[in-house]
Amino acid sequence: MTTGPDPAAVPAPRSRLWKGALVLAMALTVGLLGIGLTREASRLPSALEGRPMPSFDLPLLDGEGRLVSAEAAGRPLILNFWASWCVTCRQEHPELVRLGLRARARGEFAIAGINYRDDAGNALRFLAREGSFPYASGVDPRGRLGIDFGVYGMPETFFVDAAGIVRGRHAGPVTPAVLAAMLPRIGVVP
Amino acid sequence: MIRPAFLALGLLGALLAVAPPRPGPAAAQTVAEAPGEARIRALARTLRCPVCQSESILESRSSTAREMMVMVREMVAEGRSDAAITEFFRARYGDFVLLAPPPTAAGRLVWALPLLFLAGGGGVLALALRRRAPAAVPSPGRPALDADRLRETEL
Amino acid sequence: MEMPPIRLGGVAVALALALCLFAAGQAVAAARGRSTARLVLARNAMLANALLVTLGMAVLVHAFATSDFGVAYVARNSNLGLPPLYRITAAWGAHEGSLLLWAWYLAVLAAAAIVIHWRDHPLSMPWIIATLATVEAGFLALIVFLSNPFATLAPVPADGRDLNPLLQDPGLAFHPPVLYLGYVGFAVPFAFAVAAMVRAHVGTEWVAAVRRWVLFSWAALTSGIIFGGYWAYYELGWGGYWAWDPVENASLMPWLTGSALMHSMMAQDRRHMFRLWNAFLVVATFLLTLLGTFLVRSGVLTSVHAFATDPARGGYILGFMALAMVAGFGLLIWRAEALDSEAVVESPLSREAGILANNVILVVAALIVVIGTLFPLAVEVVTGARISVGAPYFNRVMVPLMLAVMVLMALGPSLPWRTMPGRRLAALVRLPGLAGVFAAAVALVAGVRDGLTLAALAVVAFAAAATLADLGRAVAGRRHVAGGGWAGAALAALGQGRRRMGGLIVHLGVALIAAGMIGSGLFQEALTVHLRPGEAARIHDYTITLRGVDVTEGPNWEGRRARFSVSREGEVVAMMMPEQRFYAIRGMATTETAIRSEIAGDLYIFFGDESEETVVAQIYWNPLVGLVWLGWIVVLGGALLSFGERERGRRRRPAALPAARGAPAE
Repeated sequence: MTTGPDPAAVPAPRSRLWKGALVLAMALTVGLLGIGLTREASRLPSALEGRPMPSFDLPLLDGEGRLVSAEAAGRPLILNFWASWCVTCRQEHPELVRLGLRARARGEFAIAGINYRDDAGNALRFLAREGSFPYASGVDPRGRLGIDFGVYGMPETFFVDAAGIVRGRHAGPVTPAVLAAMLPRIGVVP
Repeated sequence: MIRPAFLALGLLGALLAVAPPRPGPAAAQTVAEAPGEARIRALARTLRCPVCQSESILESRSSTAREMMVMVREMVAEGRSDAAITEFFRARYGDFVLLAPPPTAAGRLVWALPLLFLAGGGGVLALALRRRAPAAVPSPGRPALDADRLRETEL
Repeated sequence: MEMPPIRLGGVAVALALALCLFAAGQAVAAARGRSTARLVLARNAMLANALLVTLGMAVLVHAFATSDFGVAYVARNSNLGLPPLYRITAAWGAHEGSLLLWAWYLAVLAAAAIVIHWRDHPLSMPWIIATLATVEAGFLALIVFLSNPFATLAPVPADGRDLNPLLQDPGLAFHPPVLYLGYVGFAVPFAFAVAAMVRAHVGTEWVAAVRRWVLFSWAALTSGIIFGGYWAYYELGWGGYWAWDPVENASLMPWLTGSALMHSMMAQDRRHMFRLWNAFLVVATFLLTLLGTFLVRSGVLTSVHAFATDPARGGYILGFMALAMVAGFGLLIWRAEALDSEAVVESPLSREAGILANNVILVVAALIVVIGTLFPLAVEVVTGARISVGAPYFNRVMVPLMLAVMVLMALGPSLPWRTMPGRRLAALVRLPGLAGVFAAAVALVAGVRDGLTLAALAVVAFAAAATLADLGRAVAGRRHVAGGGWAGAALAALGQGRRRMGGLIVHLGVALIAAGMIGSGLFQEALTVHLRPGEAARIHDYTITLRGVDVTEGPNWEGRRARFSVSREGEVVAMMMPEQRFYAIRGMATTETAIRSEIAGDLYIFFGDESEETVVAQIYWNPLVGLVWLGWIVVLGGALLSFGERERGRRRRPAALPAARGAPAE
């Protein structure tokens, strides 16, 4: 095995170029995938952010009457899409109930639910088991309003300010940390 | 030489026999495709099902994609243009819903990349072919090759 | 206390991991100290490793065959109602089991490689063993610590949660095992390349040794991709077979670089060229198999609501990949000067130049697939916005590139090494060129106006004709020499020049696949109709009548089946019955398409959104799609033939031999 000094052992500039490019490509790939791995899956920017909330007029899940978007005008609104078939919805349920009780007590913001692509019977059983929301839910059986809001999956929660402009969307269960980040955006003290 | 040519032409014939759709006499209870379905399919192929890995709403069996198909049909029936329908979904889901990247900064970049790679590849190719400077010298006995042969023995 | 069999599996795999680490250590020590004893120890450890992982695999398959729901992985992915075939294939139906399958393949292939090449590569062997043992240890550690398929459940459930219904299909039952064989196979060339680079031993021997491994892996990868396409065609119900899904792209990346590698290795074998480049391609192909594993398993690209993925696994695979990358490309950079070859491409009209062009295009294509797949992630990381890069993009970009590769594929085998006169090239392309022009002209007359379609037709006709002409010339030449009939000459030609004839047959298969893709992709007829029972629709020359909708039931699903009668010229030729199934345990719905294949094309029906009295039927006429599957068989046959080329005593062209022997080097 002879590996004596190669006459061409002095690297040419071209050789340095591809070596540099290779090292750079390696670093970029690993870096990108590493960041991709640690990024939060629930951070889903909404195309609606900074734009007016889509209007809606839906029948209520429980009882007579309708859920109308115009009724929230002038107050910040939290809109929660949920479904009985969604497992993570159970996880966020107590937090939403707490939030609903606060809204009812202080009235500084409005909150409503949208029962998304669900069977009314299943949805009511879900509420009977987990406890009712202290606020009304409209039904969106075919998911049309979900498409209007650009909903990807369940659960998702939208934060709309007093002027009716969408200020944020959270995908996944609502937690105190999420509220701490989102509520100030719509002018509500967390 | 005749056989391969014949075979090739046979293959060609097979290829071409399929091209034109032949309209036949309609049976009594035949249902024709609703007008615009072809356009709907073409449009639906470019819209991404938001809840799927990377399927278009035409391909996806998810309920969201199917509802979007229904909406596309409704909008086509209302006489909206392809661009308007695309914009409708883009306003709700953002650029994410477009399977072909739109001409935003990032979209332009991803469309330009293949051309850049190809130019780079072409450069490499040209460089390699230009390096054949000593081609005039009949080369079989170049010493470098002997060095290779020495290196290559195993023991 | 008697050890339950499932514990045996866990112990075997843990022991296998320890043996791999031991083998890697011994192999490195053997290389350093030139110690044969240590090398034998390392070899034996790897052979024992193969036995142990085989035992682990057998234990897992046994647990599935006997529906042992005390095993958590079995309980999650099987069910008493599962048909017997899927009860076995479920073993690799999810993450843990498929990793074990992977590790098992690697263990067996590594043992085979060590045994086969033990005598011929004594000095490279320590590094080959060290590399294979390290890679195997990497996978086994992932299995043992982060993805244990042998973990047990405390209260044993009465029944399992069923296999993902999408995987309850013959296409997908066999797609992963074949695909993984291709992925794993590239680890062997990687090990040889690492050994060659570590030793700065950069001649043609390692290339000759790994030729069959590359061919084998490439054929398996091709088959795996085709199986996946067949599954998508059959199961997903949209008339296509390739969606440019990140998971599909992950398998295409190493296929593209592997295809480039198969060609450029020839140049190193014959002309001592492209040595650095070949080492790069081997390393890159292996790394791309790891990248594919990472992309599929880390959830980094599963776009939406991917709460369930385990970041630890993703982090581990990324770390492992980074390590392999630094080792592989690091060696390449370190040894670049030793690898750089002095031989140059002498003429643009030569086999070398053709191979170089082929490599440039294939690598550019691979790069586009990698970047296109990762681009949305990059955009999200940099700007926070989410975009998609999907089928319309890849089709637009890749089709012209693949057409260019097809042109080279047609010309390449006719080009001699070193150089050729331009006149001869002109003579060679005359007939295929005519075929291409003829194809485009006929299509033009038939009303095709799309430029890309015309180009695609011309190129495929050109490639098919050129390849057939090459094959014809070989047979005619043989007949000229030996006399006798055409059939005898053809057999003799196939037997004598297996490598070349095998390559040409693979090219022919690729042309067939391309013809099938063009036929079904560009001339597809589609129909979406709302039908009531008794109503009919027309497509191509068929009349398709809905006869009724029935309720059906399977062992673990219930569904609805639409009955369509298919008639041509007033005569019923077939009944077609697509289904919608609902798998209650997983709560998932699937569609089962009905496909009727003939030579001219496939009639393809599925039905969706059923209302009270009407059925929405999607009907496709996919012309020539059968050529894709036929082409695959031809490719496989060609690869097999090439595989049969005798390695020893192969004839070398004088061109590759230095004329002045014994000239002092350095």
